Amino acid sequence: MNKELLDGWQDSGTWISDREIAFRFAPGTMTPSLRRKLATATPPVGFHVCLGAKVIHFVQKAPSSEAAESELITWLKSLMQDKAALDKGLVHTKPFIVRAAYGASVSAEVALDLQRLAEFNRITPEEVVQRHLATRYTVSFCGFQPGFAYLEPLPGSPPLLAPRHDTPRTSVPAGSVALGGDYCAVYPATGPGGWNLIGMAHEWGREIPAWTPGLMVNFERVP
Amino acid sequence: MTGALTMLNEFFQLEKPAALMASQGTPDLGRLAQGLPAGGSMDPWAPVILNRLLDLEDSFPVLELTLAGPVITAKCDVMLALGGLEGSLESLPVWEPFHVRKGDTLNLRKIKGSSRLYLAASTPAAGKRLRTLQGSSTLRQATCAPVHIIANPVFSDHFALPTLRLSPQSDRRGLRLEASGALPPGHEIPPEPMGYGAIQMPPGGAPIIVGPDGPVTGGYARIATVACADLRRLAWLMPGQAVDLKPVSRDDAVRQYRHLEEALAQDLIPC
Repeated sequence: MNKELLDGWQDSGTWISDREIAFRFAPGTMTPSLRRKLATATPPVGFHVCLGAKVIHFVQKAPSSEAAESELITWLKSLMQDKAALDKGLVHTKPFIVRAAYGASVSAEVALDLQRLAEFNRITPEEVVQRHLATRYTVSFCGFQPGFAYLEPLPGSPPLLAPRHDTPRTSVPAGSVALGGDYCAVYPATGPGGWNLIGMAHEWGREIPAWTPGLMVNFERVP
Repeated sequence: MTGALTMLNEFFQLEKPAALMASQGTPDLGRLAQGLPAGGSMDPWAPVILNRLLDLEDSFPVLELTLAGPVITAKCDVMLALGGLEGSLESLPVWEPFHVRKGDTLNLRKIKGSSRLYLAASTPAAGKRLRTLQGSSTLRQATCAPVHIIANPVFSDHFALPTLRLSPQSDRRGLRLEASGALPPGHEIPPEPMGYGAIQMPPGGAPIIVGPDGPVTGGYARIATVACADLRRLAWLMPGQAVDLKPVSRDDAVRQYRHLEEALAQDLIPC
């Protein structure tokens, strides 16, 4: 069923619940432009797009009929076939700069996570910061909270290990610069979170970019 | 979503405010890809039922009161409807419209047996048709009923859940559960969509049920999802209360939802 769609896709859609269907895709299939297109697309039969790292979910407010699935797949196929529009890569050539403080000038909580990451990776906390500052990140996709962008890749080859906390914190301060799993991010608002905090964005909130897949990001240290 | 707060100001003098009081209506799934949670009332049926009782639009937001409500005095004659478990508020009916006279004071502070209560109000316009839905007594018994969950087919491990209780550290972003017994081992995953009802299993232990204001995506394994028909049970759960998560097939979950839709179409309280 739907051979063209399966090209680069691991399956033709898996129902995750009574109102949500998932499509998995192979690495490299999801270009920033396809993510951008999906992020603003309006799917049929009351489905809404939610992007993940390796999966797209289509979510409905309430369960609908079985026929909805085939209508969705037809829509998705036609969207995927518009190759010309999808092959473009990055949106801006100039990276967005996030200014942030690291190390002794930030809170004890942040210091604890830097130490944690340093131990995982058998390097010093300062080396974690240096590697992070030397990395040119790209927005992979948006999710989690309003204004939250997943930035990749994590620095180094092989990349830094940044396992999430076993139990997420109930409150992470807005502006926290964090590493979690395969991504880096700035927490846009205070809220729960399980990532490793490594710094604090400077005057966060004054200038927040319109995060969009493909946008490049660099971090710059402030004292 | 300020509709219900405007309503509150229009009809009532706020004598004593409540800490957790918000205007909530139907969820908005339109900006998940920008990281915006869908929001909406914890009990997705409450706004619909209360608005029908008062002959208002289904989508009109209502007040969601958590743990304790405000004390209010009516500025004019008002028609009111409350949604919650039976006996939640002493001497006031639920799922049944009632008149409040100008100058009457309503004390909504002591919500009993349930975490949430919903409130909608309208002017008692002459000739307005009020609908009465049957079946509110069955809603009381329904608190003991299990919360049906649909196992995530992508999470391959078979799992059994021990007795779980709602942790006091819960809010509209996440219902944290406490376990007394062995849990399936959680693990990290590449971030994937979550949303209201998704059950995350962090490696450190107890599962978290994502709330309507909770994370849109997350990186802890998603073991299951609360069936759409049973989301309302999450709204009622009290801190410390036992939660019986019971697996159900997707087909049965859809059938349960249809059953509720049909009940409402026949002017019955979906239960």
